[in-house]
Amino acid sequence: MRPALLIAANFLRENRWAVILLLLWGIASGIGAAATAGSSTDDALFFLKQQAVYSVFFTVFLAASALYNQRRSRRILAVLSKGIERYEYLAGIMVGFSSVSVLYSFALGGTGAWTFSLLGLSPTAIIPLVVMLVLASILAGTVALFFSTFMSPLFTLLCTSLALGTSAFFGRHIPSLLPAYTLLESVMSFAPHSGGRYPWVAAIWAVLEIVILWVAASVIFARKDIAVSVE
Amino acid sequence: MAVLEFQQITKEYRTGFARRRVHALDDFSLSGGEGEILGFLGPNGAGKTTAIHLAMGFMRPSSGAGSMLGKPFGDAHTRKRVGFLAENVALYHRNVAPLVRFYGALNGLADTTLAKRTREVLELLDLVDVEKRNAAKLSRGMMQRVGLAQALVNDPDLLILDEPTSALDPIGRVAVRELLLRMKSAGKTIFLSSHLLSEIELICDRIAILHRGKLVRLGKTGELLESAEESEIVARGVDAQQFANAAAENGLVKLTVRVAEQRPTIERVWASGGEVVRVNPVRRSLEDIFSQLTKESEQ
Repeated sequence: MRPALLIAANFLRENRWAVILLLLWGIASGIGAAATAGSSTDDALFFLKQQAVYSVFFTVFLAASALYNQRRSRRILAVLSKGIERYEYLAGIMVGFSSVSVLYSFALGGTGAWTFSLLGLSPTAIIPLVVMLVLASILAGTVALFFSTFMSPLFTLLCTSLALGTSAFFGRHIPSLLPAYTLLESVMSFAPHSGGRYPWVAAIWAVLEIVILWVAASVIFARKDIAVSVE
Repeated sequence: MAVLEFQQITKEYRTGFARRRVHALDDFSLSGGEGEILGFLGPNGAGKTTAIHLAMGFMRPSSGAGSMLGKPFGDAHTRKRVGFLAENVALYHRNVAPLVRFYGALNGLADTTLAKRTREVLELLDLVDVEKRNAAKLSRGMMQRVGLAQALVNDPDLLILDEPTSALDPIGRVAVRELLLRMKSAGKTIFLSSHLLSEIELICDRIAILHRGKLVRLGKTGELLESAEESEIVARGVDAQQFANAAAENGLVKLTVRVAEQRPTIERVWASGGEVVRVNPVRRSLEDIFSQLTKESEQ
């Protein structure tokens, strides 16, 4: 557990400027939404939802390139020369990009709660939305990480888009199939006083699939040559 | 007990668009004993780095097997007792002391042990003055020392070093050489890959020479350097011109002869009233041996 946390902390440190920018963006967006809350409820919510989608994109981009960057820079060699398993290394990267997603979603959620209060909604109504957003982002990021164990970043992004797109298409019929879109849709379709129905079953599936994808990625990564000879 | 053992390992790559097969290692076997410095020599592309990466578990052999400290290659728990420095060391861009602590923590060190070991290796490698500087802003030589620091922070039983002195200046090389000899006297085993033949010659107990993925020579350094084919006879009281391959120097005559001609030559020295001062096998430089072996295996 400790190596994974160390790698996660290092991942955050390595991406600190992107994370800081993302946090500022999240906070500024929330403030922007709050500023428009007085004139139009729909505009404020639309603005918040738009920023929410970015969480998924950022997480996928971070996850898709993490392994590739470490291998290309050869920094992975010094890390994996230590007494850590490959699954711990992947867990570290997962905790890393998940933390970015959580930080962004929380920043957006914090300012979103303020916006909600300005709109006359309960600020706590934002909590399930943040949970759905975080899970959708982490699941999408884990799909990207899975593909990145055996593909270049470009193909990783293509395959991740294809996998998530396919699951979005079939999501209505098979809710357990990579439900990132289902979770994100619940955020995007949020409407005030709608009764707050959330896809909790899909959320549970998402947690399970995150674990399954991590195990599958670990099995593949453990068999992968991480260094090709520089000779 | 073999500390590091390669057993008939073959490693194949597929490269290029046509997925051409390349044998990085071909039926490679080698064993390193406890407390020795084993030098690993070979031209570019010989398979040295591949062998090291296999031992560290960075890649898997196409066939064959190997063990490190009694466990199969790739065992994470065993790596806690190993120090590794990669060729062209690449480390994270952060301050030197936290960076070394980070690698130590990855190896399971914590709290006071981690702080103590970090302090020790920073002092050992003369990095105390730069401990608060970002590693990215250090010279290549300094970076190499930081690389060595992260390899040593866990006080390893086995050190695997791929070109450890390639970026160091002569003073830094001497310092690393002394450090390795000190580690050897402390009972550590060192596996050292280098292009610097003089360095290998000076500190290694045994030398393994690789060429095109095959082990072409393995032996004790002294034995490798001494020729079994030629002797040097030093005599006095004889005329150098009476002998082929003779050179006069400070009143002595040095004769280089094939081993088969050693006895008749000594008898000729005695017959001409001379005196034999000493007879030694001809000592060749590692460079000569290296060139000869690589030429032989190319033929």
